[in-house]
Amino acid sequence: MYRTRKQLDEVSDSTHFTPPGDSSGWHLLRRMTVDAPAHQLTEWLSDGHNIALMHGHFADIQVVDERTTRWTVTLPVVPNLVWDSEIVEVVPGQAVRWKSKPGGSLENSGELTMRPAPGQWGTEVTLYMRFNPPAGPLGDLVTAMNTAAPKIIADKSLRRFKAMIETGEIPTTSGQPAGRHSGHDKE
Amino acid sequence: MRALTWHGKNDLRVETVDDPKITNPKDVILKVTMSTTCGSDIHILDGLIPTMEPGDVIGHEFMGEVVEVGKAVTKLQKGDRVVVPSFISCGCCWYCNHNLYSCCDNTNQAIEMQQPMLGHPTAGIYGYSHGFGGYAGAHAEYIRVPHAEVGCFKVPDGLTDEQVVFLSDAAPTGYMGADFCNIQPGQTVAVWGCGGVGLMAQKAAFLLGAERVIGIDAYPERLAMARDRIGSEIIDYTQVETVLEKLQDMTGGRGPDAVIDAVGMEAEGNTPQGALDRVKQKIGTATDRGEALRSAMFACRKGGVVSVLGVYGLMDKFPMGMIVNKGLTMRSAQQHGQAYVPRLLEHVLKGELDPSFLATHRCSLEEAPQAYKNFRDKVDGCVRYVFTP
Repeated sequence: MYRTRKQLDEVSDSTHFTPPGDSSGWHLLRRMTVDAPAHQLTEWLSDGHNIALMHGHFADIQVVDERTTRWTVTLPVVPNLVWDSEIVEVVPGQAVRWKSKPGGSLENSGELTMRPAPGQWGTEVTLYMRFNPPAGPLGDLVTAMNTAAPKIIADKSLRRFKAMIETGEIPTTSGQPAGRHSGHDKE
Repeated sequence: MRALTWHGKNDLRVETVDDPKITNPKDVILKVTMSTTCGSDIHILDGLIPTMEPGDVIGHEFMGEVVEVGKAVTKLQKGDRVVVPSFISCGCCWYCNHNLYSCCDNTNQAIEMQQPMLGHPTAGIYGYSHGFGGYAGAHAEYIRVPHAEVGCFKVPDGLTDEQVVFLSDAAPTGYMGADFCNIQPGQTVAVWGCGGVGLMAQKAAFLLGAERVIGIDAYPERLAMARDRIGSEIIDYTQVETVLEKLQDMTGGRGPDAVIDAVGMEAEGNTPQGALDRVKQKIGTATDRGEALRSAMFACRKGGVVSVLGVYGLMDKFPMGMIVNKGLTMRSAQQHGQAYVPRLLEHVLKGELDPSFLATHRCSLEEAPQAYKNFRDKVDGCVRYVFTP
């Protein structure tokens, strides 16, 4: 059950966002403006390799096939979260939607929707994600993490997306010189 | 390579670290030929800049020679001699396209540190804390310059390193501060602070058409530079009853048309409010001593411009009523250097600007920790040290 652009606008306050329909699990709504036409963005997001780049700061993502990516998130103490994510709909210039396949350790779904930004700003992108943590200690941990961290993680993903589209690269300081770790920053 | 690293309050070391390498397609590696101390580094030395990590390579005002280029770099090649503004800017985003280079959207990955404090992340900067992207700094033998075609400006033949190195920060910052003042013929601009940035702001005010420029400081050698090198009138604030009264005397009771704060969060000052700032900063209830900014706003004529170049954190007790009731316009930014370096190079080539007098002291990178202490304490009339690796 995905929301229309109008429905998202009606609940557009990302701090107090309560999704209509299925209210189980937790939900996230974040926004970013990207200086590019919307059709370029949906085309870019349709490629699993790009999805892997965009979310590479918190998940290791392997491309399984044209529509499917395998996500692995490493957490402290508990086993890794692993799931397969499938792109279920691409509407060129408007939206890309995905959901996890059954059998993964974290059920989730989401969408990136686009609309033209005013003036010369490009396109306003809205990221909506829903997670349904499993019962038990793993679910408790994932739920406990549902504070500020997911917003920052999602914002970073959007920033990486924006940087790739606008500049062709993602900012990094990986492995740079430093007076620690035997002379460099961690890779 | 050898590099100057920060390990805590008043703890700088020169140590051997890895050489930088090309990480992204638009990077170049520079062999640093000269770098310089900046007053904003004093805040790092004094432990006032959050999100520094032990081992960070500091330094953000520099020039060098291209020794390696990334695969997406076509306009630069090995051997090019370049000067680089301190902020890292992509040149592609809306902000860069509007000459707001230090607001670049695509060079600071550390949004979790800046977003809670500022609402939106700024551009990254070399050697100036992880909140500003955590990039390794320039007091080193080599430095990685991301988005090099946007950040590297080729140096015309015939100019010395000391004429050019301050075009990395002091000169564009000062020039931008004067540009913010929208100077009209016949106007008077007063500048708080006669360090590198303040002196460059005074020079820029003249270049942009000010009739009178007034430099304010307490260090005689800096005031002498303002008077002799720039042509400013000067005020030693320790020798006048109040800066306001002195400026009133000098401007027929109107006050300067525009004021520039080139001091920032560690203002010295001699007023009761300044003493209170000092106590609050000492006990950790405030990050900023806002003496210079308050004084500048107080003295500015009604309807004038307050241009803020000094670095600030979270100043409390900010006199907002002065802005409202006097109808002041406040302008501020970290340097949008990429917008100013080309015209600064033109001024240098025409002989209208020669910032090399700022380099009062020279030493090798190996001597940098002691040099920073001398710079901070203004030993022997120090305005700026320049380092050659």
